Amino acid sequence: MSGAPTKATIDQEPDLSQARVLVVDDNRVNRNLLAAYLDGAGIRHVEQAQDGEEGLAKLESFRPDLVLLDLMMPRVDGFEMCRRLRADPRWASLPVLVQSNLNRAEDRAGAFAAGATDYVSKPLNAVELLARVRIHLRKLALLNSLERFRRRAESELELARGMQQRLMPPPERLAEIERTHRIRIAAHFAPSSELGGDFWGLQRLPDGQLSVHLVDFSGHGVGAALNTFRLHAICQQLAAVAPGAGFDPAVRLAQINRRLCPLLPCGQFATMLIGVIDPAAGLFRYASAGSTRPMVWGPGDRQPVSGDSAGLPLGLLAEADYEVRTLPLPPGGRLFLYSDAAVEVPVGSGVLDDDGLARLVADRLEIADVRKFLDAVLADLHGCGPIEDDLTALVLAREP
Amino acid sequence: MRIAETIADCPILIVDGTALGRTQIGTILAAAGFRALSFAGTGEEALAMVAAQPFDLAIVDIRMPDPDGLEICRRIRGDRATGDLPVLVQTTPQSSEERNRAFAAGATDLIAKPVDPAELLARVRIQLESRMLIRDLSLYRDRVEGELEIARSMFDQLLPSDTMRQALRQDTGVAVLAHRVASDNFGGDLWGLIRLAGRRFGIFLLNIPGSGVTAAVNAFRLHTVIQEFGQMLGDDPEAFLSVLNDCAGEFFDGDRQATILYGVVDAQEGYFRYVTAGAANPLVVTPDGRSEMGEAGGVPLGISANSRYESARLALPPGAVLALSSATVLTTLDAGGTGVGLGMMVARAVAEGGGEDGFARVARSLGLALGRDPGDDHTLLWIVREPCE
Repeated sequence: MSGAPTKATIDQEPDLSQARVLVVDDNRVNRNLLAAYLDGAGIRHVEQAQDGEEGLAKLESFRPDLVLLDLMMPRVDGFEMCRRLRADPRWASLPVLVQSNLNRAEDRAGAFAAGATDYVSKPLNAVELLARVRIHLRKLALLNSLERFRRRAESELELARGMQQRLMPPPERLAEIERTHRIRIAAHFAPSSELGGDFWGLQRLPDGQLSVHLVDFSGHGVGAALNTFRLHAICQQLAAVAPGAGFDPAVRLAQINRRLCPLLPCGQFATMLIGVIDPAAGLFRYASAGSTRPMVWGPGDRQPVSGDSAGLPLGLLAEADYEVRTLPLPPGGRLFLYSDAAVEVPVGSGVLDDDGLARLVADRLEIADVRKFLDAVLADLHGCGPIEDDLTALVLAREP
Repeated sequence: MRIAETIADCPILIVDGTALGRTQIGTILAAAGFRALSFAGTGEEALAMVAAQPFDLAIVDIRMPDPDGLEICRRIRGDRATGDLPVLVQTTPQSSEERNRAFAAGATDLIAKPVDPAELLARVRIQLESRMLIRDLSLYRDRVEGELEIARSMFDQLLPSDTMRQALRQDTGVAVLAHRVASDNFGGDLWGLIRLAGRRFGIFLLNIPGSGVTAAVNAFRLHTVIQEFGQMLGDDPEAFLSVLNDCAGEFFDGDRQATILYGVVDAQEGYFRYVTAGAANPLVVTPDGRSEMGEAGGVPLGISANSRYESARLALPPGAVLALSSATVLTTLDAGGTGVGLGMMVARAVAEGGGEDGFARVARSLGLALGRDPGDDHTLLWIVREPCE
């Protein structure tokens, strides 16, 4: 990210050549002395005002980063200028250093009460004056660079986040599939940072069948996200060249793995589940590459059934084979898929694990609405402990 | 004056030789809301505490027994582990000389003695707020930078490995040398090879304009489909580019686009057949010093679903050098983009014997010519058909 602050700009003294300081003092000799001190410290933009009124006017035109303010001045004095300046939200955090005579503690107290940030004592000591000026300008420079970096990084990651969000089916497509396939769908996608290593998708197959897949890449953040875009591109190409007559989830998984293997750097891998909802047979046929265990339950069931999900994760071995397994999915039956963050929620000294999640699900089986069911399970999950990885969860419910 | 919750738990060490002094400062800070206050009565105790646990601020009386406040300051500054700890030194305000000595010893700022509550809180706050800002910024930056670092190394791994290039040279008698200067903002140029049957191979040079994560995402996607279709369509540059254009149309949002040159090097028949989509012209320099600039045109990828691409052909006699470069290279070397600058550079290098040394010389000159704008990345590929058949 160009324009981002480098380590040097944070750890070293800030460049003061761009800093702007307004000196407000009725004594010309004093003003020139201050300006000379500041110039000696490399501060080139110094503007002078001879009383509070002129000082307030110059705030507008000069936009200082710091004000050096004398207290005793004709017309609008330092206390009054300080109060008026603080009343304007634009100057609420502008550092104002007042010049205070050492013998007058009540002036200092009054200056702080009027909103001064700090003071420098009179007679002026150059070392002390510049030390204090630097402290405030440095803080300002830090704040600015912090905000610049954040703004840039956040806007860039926000764009990428939008791109990642668009990997998943948009609401109108979900609504259409819900209608045509007599199915209810609720999905949750929450990367642990701006971008994540998860995604899921659907593919329509002939004969009213519907394929669903859920992917979870190792790691998280930008690196894992780049991999989701690759895998998504592969899935799209495969869907385009082989529209799916006689769709076999194990074959598809092996095809994806063969393509992904040469692309992934050593040490990166993904888990994936591809399944087919077959309404005619009342079955969910699926293949797993090390995914979490799919859960199904039928109308009236008291608890979900978890399917076997053993299988080699994608990206490890190009020749890997996968096997097709089945779970019952009659009319009214429901299917629950999730990324492993859901079973790795820390609980006590261990993690929630498969059984723990199955119990949470069992407690919520009576909720008929899929969205409300999913929200309730997610709320229970968050209640168990902090979720530190990308969390994706998906409920598909066949209409009764 | 209450303080912000973000700094209330910052650990503060108060170093004062008198119980009264410690209590005064402690009471003011506690009343303002600071919750993590520690106290030391001697310099030795203070240094031991600073070494044993992390503090965000130390407030040190200049008049301390064994060692004194100035020495405490110096030792804190002298130790790498505590060098950046802000130290407020309490001095008698009357002595300008004492205040200067405190700054010279490394004091971050001073506070007057006897202590003035408003002044104390003002100085403590500004120090802690700055420190928390630094910490916040550093944490965020470190996390984001860490993620981007991983992404950058993944980007580099998209490029052909040395092993792959050696195998290609062995099998086809064509050496591919690459000079790539990447901006640290990734995105930008990407090139790659596709092995085809016989003594043929495909080579592409892709440029995704823009920078940052979104450009990287699109580079990864296009790279993926290039790999996907390379084996299938690599021998047919026109069809290959049409498919890539279709994919780019699906991937890109709105005004995004990419330029690419893709071509097939046939080391048996001695030609380079290629298509371009908004990419720079390829250039062939023969051993007799003649250079030929290939045609280039074509609509960049991702702009129109109907873009069609027409292939062109350059002869590639034994010993010839085919130079492919990013558009930046051509435009920098001569304003008209006619390639005369690059052509002359390559021709001279070939005349002087070519080879890896010649390539290195051209790459060096490129670096000098482009050095003015290091943010812009550029690539030069140099494909040599070996002279001995």
